[in-house]
Amino acid sequence: MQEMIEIRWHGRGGQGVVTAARLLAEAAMEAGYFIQAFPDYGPERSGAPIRAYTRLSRSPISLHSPVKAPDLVIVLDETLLGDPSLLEGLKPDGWLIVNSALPPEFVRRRVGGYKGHLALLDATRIALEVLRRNLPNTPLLGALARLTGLFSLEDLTRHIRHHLAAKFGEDVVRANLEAVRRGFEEVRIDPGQASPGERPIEVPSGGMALPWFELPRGGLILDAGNAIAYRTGDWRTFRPVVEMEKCTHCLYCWLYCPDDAIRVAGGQFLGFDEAHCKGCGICAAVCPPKAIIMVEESRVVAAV
Amino acid sequence: MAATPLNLKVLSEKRTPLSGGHRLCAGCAEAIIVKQVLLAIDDPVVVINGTGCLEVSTTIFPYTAWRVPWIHVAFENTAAVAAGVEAAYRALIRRRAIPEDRRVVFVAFAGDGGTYDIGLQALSGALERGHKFLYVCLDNEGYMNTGIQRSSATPRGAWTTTTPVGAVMPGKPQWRKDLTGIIAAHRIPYVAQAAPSHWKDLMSKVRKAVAADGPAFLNVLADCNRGWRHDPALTLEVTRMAVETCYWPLFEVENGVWRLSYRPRRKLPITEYLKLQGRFAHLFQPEYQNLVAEIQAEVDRRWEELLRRCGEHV
Repeated sequence: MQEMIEIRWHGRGGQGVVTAARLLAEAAMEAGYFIQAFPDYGPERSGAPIRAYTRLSRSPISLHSPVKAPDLVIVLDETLLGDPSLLEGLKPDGWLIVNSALPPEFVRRRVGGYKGHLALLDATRIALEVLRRNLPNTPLLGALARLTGLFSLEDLTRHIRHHLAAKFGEDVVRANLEAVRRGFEEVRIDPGQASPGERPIEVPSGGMALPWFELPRGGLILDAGNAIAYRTGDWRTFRPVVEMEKCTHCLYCWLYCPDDAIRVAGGQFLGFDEAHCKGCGICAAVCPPKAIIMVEESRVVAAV
Repeated sequence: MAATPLNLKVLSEKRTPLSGGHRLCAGCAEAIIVKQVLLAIDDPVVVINGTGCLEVSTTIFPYTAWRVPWIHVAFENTAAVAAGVEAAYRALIRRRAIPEDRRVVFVAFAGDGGTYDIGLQALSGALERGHKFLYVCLDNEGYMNTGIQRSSATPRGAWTTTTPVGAVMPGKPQWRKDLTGIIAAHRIPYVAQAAPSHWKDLMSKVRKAVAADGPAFLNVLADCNRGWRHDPALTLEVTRMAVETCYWPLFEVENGVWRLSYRPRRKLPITEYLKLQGRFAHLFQPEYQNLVAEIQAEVDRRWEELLRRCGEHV
């Protein structure tokens, strides 16, 4: 291994991004590495994009900034693939690891024609099957061990068991270890296509949106309700689907939707606002005739 | 002008006060409550919002989800700022800068941290001075915005990150504070407790509150699926169970008269409420049986006390 490995995790709040960054570091610590793991997020909520960082080193780490030039970029949620800063600073021989069931060419296209090393794992599927929740973090740890050779599956399993057992019951520990094992075995590797010396991708450098002197005085927001321009639809794991024949237009879904994502006109239910629906499932739960059901988002996307 | 009837077909024609694109958690009850509260009011509204999840997640620069005038204030002074805004409005009327018949309703939103704990002094002061505004406490029973720490609204036996479950303590050791009772003791014109699962009751209470001649206070149970540890889809079911078990009774105190708003046909055991939430999961282990019995006894005691205050048979 090189002197230091730097990892940047991209995911959404609630998917276990911070836990994954820490679990990896703790496992590495047991294996004798110096470690760091810390998250980086704004005032946002379950489902919002967040980042976390892990550093593993053979010598004490004096660097304390966010990871700018990662060896590995791990993406827990494929809806983040369009984020232009995703690959910022990724080393030319680094790896992009994505939680996705999509074919590699498709993922490469979604990240702006990325040509570097790519690894894919359908971690959400594994998590839903093994953990019964969309917690793709532990399967990805298995994939990471396989790719980097940092740990054998046995060592990683032992370290993770050690840390999870302190907090969780045997059932949860065992399910997570199964998720790690499947991640290790099911990861799909697609080596880089870049010719020697070619950069895998050109990453545009981000600038500040507005210089401070152009901000409205007092930080006022003068355009009431402009949050409508912000899409929260990609936070979904499940999406509502309606059987219109059963709908009685009682509008309980409209009343109880926290995201104003039920379209109604003239007292009639019309459908869902997919740009903002976060997939909480309240509409399905409160629907008296059970006209709304929740369907896994990836299946709907795959069917289109 | 007659008030908009509390009918969903008619209400759905109104402009919703909070747009999509805010960044509250999926399934958050706060957005549902804000919608019900503000849709009940037909007059122009100014919202005063104390620090907390609602403020942080609805106004991430350069976006705001609010379609009404809105001001953010610190945890401890939501009621003080609401009082100031209301006083400024009255001053402008006296100065004839705005017409006397221009009705404006002032609604303050803050969480239990900002109300039961940090903002209680400012709230008590504003209520005593008699400012005409509605204060809505979004009671999610903890400091959820900072990562699920206990507040004085957290119920006994609940897990939070600062009342972990283990050999030392069984979740939060103390009983929750009876804030609605404390506010009622201020003898303001209108005090009520409500839940979004009972939307008509909640919206009717908002109307009484804004029609009252003076301060009004509404304590609303605001389910937090992250902190209470349950599937976000269950938000309304958990809330309904809080009411059906008489853990969160619906009542109002109008000019000193206590009135029960809803009496469950059959009062369900508290376990029906507790079992839906991960924060109480430990209570179902044998060693905590006594604590469950204590919680049930306390719910019963508070419920019977309320029945007596409301002149209901016990």
